[in-house]
Amino acid sequence: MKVAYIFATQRHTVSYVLAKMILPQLEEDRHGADVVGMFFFEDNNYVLVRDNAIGERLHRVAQKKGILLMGCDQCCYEREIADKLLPGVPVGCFPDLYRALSSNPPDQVITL
Amino acid sequence: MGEEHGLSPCCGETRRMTVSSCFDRGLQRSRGPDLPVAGDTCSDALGISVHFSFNVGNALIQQVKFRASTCVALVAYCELLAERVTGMTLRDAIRVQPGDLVRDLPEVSPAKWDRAALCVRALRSAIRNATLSPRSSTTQEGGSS
Repeated sequence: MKVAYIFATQRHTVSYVLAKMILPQLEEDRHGADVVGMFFFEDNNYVLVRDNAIGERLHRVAQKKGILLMGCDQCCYEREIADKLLPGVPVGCFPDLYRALSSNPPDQVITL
Repeated sequence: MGEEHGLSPCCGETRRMTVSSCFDRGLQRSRGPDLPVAGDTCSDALGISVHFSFNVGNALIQQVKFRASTCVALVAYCELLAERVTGMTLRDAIRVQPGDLVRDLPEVSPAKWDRAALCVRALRSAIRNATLSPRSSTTQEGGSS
């Protein structure tokens, strides 16, 4: 099964669910689903900034597995980080996300 | 301070030239009816569209409005363009290039630079209509044609 994650809430979504559950499972090839994309809203985008420790790990595993990473453009511009993201990580809005996933669409989209 | 960092005083606050601040101001500018001199609605292949209107007084662009699809880069470029051409003659305004907007909002990713060309095209459409209509080109601020 192919899944895409949308990180929409801001509690422990990135520091716990992503960093301590999803990411280690991806790194150890035991996540149980093929992740095709991750989209980040609001403060969750800070994980995509260069030199963020979690982001650097995520970037490595995303490149290895062909996972699309994308930040919400309005969220990134508002935080003035759009030009500070990890190499090759785009910002965009829903049309950009759907277009980017259209060649490898997920079976499920999971909002966290 | 400020000016050298792209900041200028505005109503006691600083007017910042970032995508986010231009976007916020652009949303405000988009409200209300069009101004008397209106251009055609210009669209791209993705269906993103923009439409400019303005009024002219004393041979200068006095006020500018636009309506644009809610793409943050597009609205930011439109706002930047609207602020830039306010106070210009039509002859000077038509010389503004997409590259000028791209250069002044460097945060925008290259994938969205085409939005700058779209909004310049839409403004030029309004300028062409102004120059084709002598009545429109002499419309005073706040007037209707």
